[in-house]
Amino acid sequence: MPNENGLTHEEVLQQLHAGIDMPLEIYEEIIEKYESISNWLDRPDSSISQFDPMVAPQGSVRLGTANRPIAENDEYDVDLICRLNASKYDFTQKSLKEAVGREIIAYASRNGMKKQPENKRRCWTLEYTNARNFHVDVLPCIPDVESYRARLKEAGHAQIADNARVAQQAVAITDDTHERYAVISDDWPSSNPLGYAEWFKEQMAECVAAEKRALFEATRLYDHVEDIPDYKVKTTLQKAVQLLKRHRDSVFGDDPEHKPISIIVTTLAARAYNNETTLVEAISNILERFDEALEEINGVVWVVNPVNPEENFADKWEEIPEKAAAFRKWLKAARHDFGRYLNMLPPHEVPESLRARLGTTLVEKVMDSLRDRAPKVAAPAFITSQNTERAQVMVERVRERGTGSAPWLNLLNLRE
Amino acid sequence: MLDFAEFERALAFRQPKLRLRQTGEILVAKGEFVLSDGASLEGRLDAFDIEMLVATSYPEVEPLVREVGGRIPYHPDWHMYANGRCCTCIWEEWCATSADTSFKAFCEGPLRNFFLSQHVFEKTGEWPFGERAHGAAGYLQAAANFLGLDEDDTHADRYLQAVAAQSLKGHWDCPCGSGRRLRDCHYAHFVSLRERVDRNQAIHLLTRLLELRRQERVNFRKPPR
Repeated sequence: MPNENGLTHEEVLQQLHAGIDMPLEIYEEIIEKYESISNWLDRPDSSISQFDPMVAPQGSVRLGTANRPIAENDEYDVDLICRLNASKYDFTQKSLKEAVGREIIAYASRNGMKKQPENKRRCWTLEYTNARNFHVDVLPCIPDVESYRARLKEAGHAQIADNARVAQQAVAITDDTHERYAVISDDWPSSNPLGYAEWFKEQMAECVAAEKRALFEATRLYDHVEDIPDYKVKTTLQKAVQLLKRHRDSVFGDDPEHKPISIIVTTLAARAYNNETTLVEAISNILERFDEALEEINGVVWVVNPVNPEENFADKWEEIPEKAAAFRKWLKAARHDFGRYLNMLPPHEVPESLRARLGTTLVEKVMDSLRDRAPKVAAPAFITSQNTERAQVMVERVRERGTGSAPWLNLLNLRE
Repeated sequence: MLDFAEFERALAFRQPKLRLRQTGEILVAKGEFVLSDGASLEGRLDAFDIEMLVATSYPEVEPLVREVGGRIPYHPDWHMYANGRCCTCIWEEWCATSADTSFKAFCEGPLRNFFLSQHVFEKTGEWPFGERAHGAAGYLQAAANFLGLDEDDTHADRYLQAVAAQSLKGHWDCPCGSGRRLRDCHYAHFVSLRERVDRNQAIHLLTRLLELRRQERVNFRKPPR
C-alpha cells in the first residue's frame, strides 16, 4: 500500500517552506534593531527629533515573504523606511538624506559597528556583523499624501487615491541622481512601500483573519485576536511567494543580473492568488495563472504597480530584453519543477529538479524527518485495483461538475 | 484567439511532460499526456504519448490530437482513426453546450475525458461518459443533447430545423411526428425552446448535420451490381 501513513504533498511543501522561512527570532531581532534606530533618532538631543522620525520595515520583511539566506553565513537583507514628519519646504532631498545620515552615522559609531554606514543612491546602508549578519537599508523619506492623491486622480485612478489605508502611506524619497536633488522643490521621487504592503495584505485578508483566529484559539496567548501581530501568522500566499523566490534565487544563482525582481514575483503571485487554503492549491493556481496579470501597453510589457498604476515594475524589460526572456525561462522551469512533483509523483518522491532548486540538503533533511511517514516499500507505478478505483473517483468528479464528454467518430475521416 | 502564453498557462504546470512550441499559427504540444487527479498520494494515474496541434484561431478550429505511442488501437471501436487521430468529442456540440470553451477548459474537459475514458475502457470495456454513434447518427444524438431531448430521439433533426428557422409557421407539420399542425400541437413548446437555445448554434449544428448526411450518402453509396 503506498502511503499508508498518509504523507501528503501539503505536508512536504509546508516543511520545505518552514526550512526556508525567516525564523521568528530573526523577525524579533529585526524589530529590536529598527526600534533601537527609531529610539536613537527620536532621543531628545537628536538633530531630527522635532520631525517625529518613524522607522518601520518595508519590502519582504514587512510583507512576510523574507527567506533565510541560501548559505548559512550569508547576510539577511532588511529594508527600512525612516519617515520624518516634514514637508518639501523644510528640506531639499539632499539635506534630508544628510540629516538622517548624520544620525545614522552617529548611531553606528555609538553601537560600535565596524563598518561606517554607506551613502547609497536612495538610502543609507548599515552592516551588522555580529552573531548574525544583517544588511540594513534605511530609506529617508517624508509624507507625500496630497500630491500622491492628486497625481493618481489626474491619471484616472481615483479608487486608489481614495483608498485611505494605501494613500496615507505615500512618501517622497531622495535620489542623488535626481536633477532637483539639491534645491528646494516640489518635484521629488515618490514611492509607497507601506501602501503596497497594505495592498498585499488586502489580497490575503481572508486568510490572515483565519490564521489569526486559529492561532488565537490554539495558544490563548493573546487577549484578543486583534492583538496578534501580522508577522506571527503566515498565509498560503506568503508561503507560495517564499517558495517561488527560493526557486528563482537558485535558478539565477549564476546570473543575478537577470533575476526577476521580488516585487514582480510578489505582485504577480498576489494577483493570481484566489484565497486558496492549502499551499498545494495556492502554488498550483499561482503557477498556472502567474503571467495572467502581465499587460501589454503600446507594445510594452507591464507589471502594473497596484498602488501606482503609472509605474511599471518591469520597466527594465524593454531596455534589457534578456530580463524578459529570463522571466519566461524561470516561469517555465518553476511550472515544470513544481508541476512534475504535484501532478505526477507521490509525496515522498520530490523530483531531482525541484530538490536542486529548493536545496538538496534542505529537501533531504525534510524527507528524513518524514521518513517514518513514507511508504515502507516503494510503491509500484501502477497498481491495477487501486487505479480502477482512482479512475472511478476521477470519473465521478467530472460527472459532478457536469463536464463529461463522449468520444465520437466522423466516418468521413476514416478515409484520411 | 489563443496565444502561446495562454497555451502555456493551460498546459505547462498540469502537463509537465509535454513540450510546447509555436510554429506560425499552429501551437504544438508533444510528449506524455498525464492523467492525474492533482496532488495525489499515488502520483499520476496513467499517461499517453500524444501530439496535439492547435490553431491560434481556437476555438474556431478543433484541436487535432493524435495518440502516437501505439497504446490505443487505431480502430473505430476505440474512436480512433487509422492515422492515430483521436475523436475526443463532437466539437460543435461541446462548443454549443459548454459554459466555458477556453483552451484550458478543453484540456480539462474533452481532452482529459478522452484519455480517462480510454483508461477505463481498457480496464472495464465501458465508456464512462458514454460514446456517440459514429458519423451522422452520433451527430443527431449531439443535436438531441443540445436541445435537451432524450439522446435517442430520432426527431432531433426536425426540432433543430424548427429552432433554426427564421420564424415558426403554424401550418407546418409538428416536428414531434404526431401528424398534426404545429399550431394545434407543440407550438408553445417550440416558442419556449427557441427562447432557450441559441439560434445561430442551432443553424450551425443543422448545417453540419445535413452536410454530414449528404457526404455520407455520396461516400458510402452501395456500388452498382
